[in-house]
Amino acid sequence: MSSIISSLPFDPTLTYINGEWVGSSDSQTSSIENPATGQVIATVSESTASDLDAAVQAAHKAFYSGAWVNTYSGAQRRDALLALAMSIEDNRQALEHLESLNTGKPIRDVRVELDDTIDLFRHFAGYADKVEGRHIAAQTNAGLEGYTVKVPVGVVGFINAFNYPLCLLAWKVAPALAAGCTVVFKPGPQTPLTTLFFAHLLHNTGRFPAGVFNVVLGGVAVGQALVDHDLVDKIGFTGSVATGKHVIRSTASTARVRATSVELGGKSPGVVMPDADLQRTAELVISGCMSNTGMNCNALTRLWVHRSIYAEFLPLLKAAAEKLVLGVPQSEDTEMGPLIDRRQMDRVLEYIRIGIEEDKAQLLTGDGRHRVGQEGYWVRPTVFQNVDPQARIATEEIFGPVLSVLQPFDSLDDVIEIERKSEFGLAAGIFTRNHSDIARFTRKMRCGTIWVNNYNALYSYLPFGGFRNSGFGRELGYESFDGYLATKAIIDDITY
Amino acid sequence: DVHIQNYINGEWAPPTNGLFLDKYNPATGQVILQIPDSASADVDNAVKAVKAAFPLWSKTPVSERAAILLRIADLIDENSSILGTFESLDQGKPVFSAIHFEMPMCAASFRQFAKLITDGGIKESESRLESMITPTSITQPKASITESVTQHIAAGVAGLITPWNFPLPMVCFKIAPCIAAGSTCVVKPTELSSITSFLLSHILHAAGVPKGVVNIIFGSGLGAGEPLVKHKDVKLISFTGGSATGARIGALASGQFKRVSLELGGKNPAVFFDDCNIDHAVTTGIRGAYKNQGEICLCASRQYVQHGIYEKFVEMFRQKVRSDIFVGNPLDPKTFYGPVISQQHMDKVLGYIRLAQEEGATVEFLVNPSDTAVKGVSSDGRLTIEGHEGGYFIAPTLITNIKQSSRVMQEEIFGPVVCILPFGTEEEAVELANDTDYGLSASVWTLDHGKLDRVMRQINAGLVWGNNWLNIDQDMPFGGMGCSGNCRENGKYSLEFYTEVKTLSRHVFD
Repeated sequence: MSSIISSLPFDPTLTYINGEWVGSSDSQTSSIENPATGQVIATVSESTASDLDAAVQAAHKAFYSGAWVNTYSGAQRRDALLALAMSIEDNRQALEHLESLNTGKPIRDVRVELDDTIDLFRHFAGYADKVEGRHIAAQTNAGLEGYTVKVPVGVVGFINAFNYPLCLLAWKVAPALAAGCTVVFKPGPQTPLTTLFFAHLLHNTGRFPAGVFNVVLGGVAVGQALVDHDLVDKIGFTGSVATGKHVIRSTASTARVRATSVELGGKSPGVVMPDADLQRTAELVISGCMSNTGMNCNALTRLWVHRSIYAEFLPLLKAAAEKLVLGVPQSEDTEMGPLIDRRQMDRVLEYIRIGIEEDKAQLLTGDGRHRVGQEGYWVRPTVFQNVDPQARIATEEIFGPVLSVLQPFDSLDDVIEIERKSEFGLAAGIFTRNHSDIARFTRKMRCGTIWVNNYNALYSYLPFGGFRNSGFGRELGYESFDGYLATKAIIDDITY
Repeated sequence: DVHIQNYINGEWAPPTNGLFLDKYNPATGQVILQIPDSASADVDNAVKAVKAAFPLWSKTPVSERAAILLRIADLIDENSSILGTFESLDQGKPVFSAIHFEMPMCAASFRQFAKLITDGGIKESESRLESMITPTSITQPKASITESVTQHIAAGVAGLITPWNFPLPMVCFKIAPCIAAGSTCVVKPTELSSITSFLLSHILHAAGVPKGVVNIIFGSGLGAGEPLVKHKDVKLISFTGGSATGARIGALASGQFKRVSLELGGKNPAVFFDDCNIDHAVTTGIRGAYKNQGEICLCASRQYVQHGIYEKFVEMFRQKVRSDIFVGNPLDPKTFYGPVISQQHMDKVLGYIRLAQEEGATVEFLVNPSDTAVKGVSSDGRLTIEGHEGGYFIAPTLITNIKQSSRVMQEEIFGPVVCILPFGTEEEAVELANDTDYGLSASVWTLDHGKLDRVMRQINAGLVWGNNWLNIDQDMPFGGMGCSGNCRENGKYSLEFYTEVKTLSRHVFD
């Protein structure tokens, strides 16, 4: 495994700022673990406040000098991003192995994530040369000609989460660069490696001027410095509600107000109706919850099952959960990996304890409070049944492989009313063939994504994001691209 | 007492040749008035005036055009009773429907286009800032920024030819987008129902439409319509009517590079699966078959019912028609539908009924036993209505046990005649639905979410309904495939037809 690190085509002890590979200005480092074994696999630098400032200054200069927006036409940004996509594709195996090593993700899952990453850069490349304004002809005799022009927002600072390091980087960076913004990117502190590899590939295309894309590494301190920096025009954040609120407050607490877009997590419900295909649904639900070991902000974590099929459905759910293969990430048979680190594992085990001892919920499957083995941060897929909808395990985001099957329900309309009042509003799923039930559910639920008879399917062209404490702003789709643009109106008296 | 005259350049006048056509009241078969039998000379006068009015109208600010459109809408609303009553008298449709549904549709059309050209941020054109490399000399290429913008201008003089099934709405649906876009038009309404178009000329005049912007000339298709289509100064033709006439118009117009929009006929299928809401389905199937005497291009004239509910559906259909549907005097509020438009048309419809009988199909006339106005039913379905013995009334006709390949199943009848056949699988339903030369609309009935979506997406028609019929959103594109037509109307689609697009592309800076 260490051969993966030692054969990297770049030096992971450095980071990428202003087109150059540099170490931390005070030589700070941090250790990166493989969560499947708990072993340290690499050492990376930790950026200081002064490193962060250098990165933002570089991005600022690259933006305002016009290196990325005026000198590069939309078509050229498009071609740069297409070249980058090609380069990612050419190096995908190395990226897959690195991501799997750093996160413990099964190799099969990482392959899909690379497909998505490549697709995202290709998709958003297509927007780069289609930035259009509107020309609105004068409506009265005294009227003036008016038109709008869309321009990039400026310097964007990203704070990424650890759960999909490379894929979420693509979600954020592809549209931002396509729009003509410049970027300072901070990966999750546990998962910087594929971000650094990405920077290496970007640099080697030779098509991105210095300062257009920069990487800073570290945790809370660097993140705070980025969020506080007045030369940053917009912050994009993925993470917890608590940190998200802090980020939003910070963007209003310095000399300049900065725009934000935040994606904050969820407690997304699924609903199984009497006419659902029970076997297929059981598998979709387990996959919807346990995918990425439950470290998925849109995971299906609280399940409503209709009273008339409750007894029949639960054994199918149990079997589907117990069928999941936990194993070493490199194995093609492995379906589920470990949690990202010790802290996350402890948190998940604590919630399982809360479920058993405080919420008094009944376990359908799972090892209770026990981790799997002593090496690495493993927890078995856990399903609780007959859970009170107000229970802590049913309402708080656990971010692990824990599903709460709620007490049986009778009325879909009652379920909709309860879920519309949820603190969160990221996603939901419904399993039924009844057109009228689907129509009501999709129209009345107040959340960003609704899956009908499937779960977790996401596409580069469909927007994703939250309502309420799940956040605001959208990623993916045209809406995300538009989020990196600002509108100007120009009013012109052509009779003058 | 109505004297119909041509409306040209803001004035009313008889046709230059002094000739008139007889118009018959379809409910009685009696002549009720005469309409001008206009010819080339009138068309020439009309086009000349419309062409002269174009430069000023096309440059009139949109807010002024919109204000005029809104005034037209208000005047239609104020006069909806009179307009609706004359429409019913002229066309044979029930008066209640004419006054309360169709006249409001006319007003709504003018309001919709008034709004489309002003409020709501409709973009009239797009602007793009694009960086392009333009060499200033062969040895020294220099990068420069070019700005491109589109300019939308009125397309010019249009000829509008309208049908007799919804006389006033059809005229309004064409005039409104045409003049909203700044184009001008000569309208040749159907000779079979001209009264409301004539009344509309007074409304347009009172609303302040400048003279020459809309001219209305009355006459026959051959006498007035054809010269209009062939006139060298008419750049756009919008036609709604039968496929045969549409084909002729298309052929005449294309040699002169005119923009032609054809909304033609349909033989629209309704597909009812076992798991549909059968009460809703039967009720709508009946409406789809007989509304407006079956004289709607969107009528569900062939209905396919899945085996599991076929017998029940047909029996419910029969019983409901017999109990709920009254045929008779259009001015009677009880009447569901009135006479068909003319003797000639009635003969055509009865001909199809006889054909079905000759082919050995089961042909039933579902006359309401408590309809005391019905004095008799002929062997081919003609009804004798008390006090209206000369009227062109046809019984609600149900045909079953007929072949899919029969002309009765393949050709547009445009009367109160429906064919109902059974089917087996989802694939069969799609095949049967797509098996004609038409493709205007269709409806699919099932409560299964996936099946509804799958089937709706596979039917080749411009407008497909799911668990409903005749719900038309005026902003969604409307038009047919195959022999049903070649264009899309409604909302911005209609405006685009009357608009010309230019691209302006200029150097900004190096």
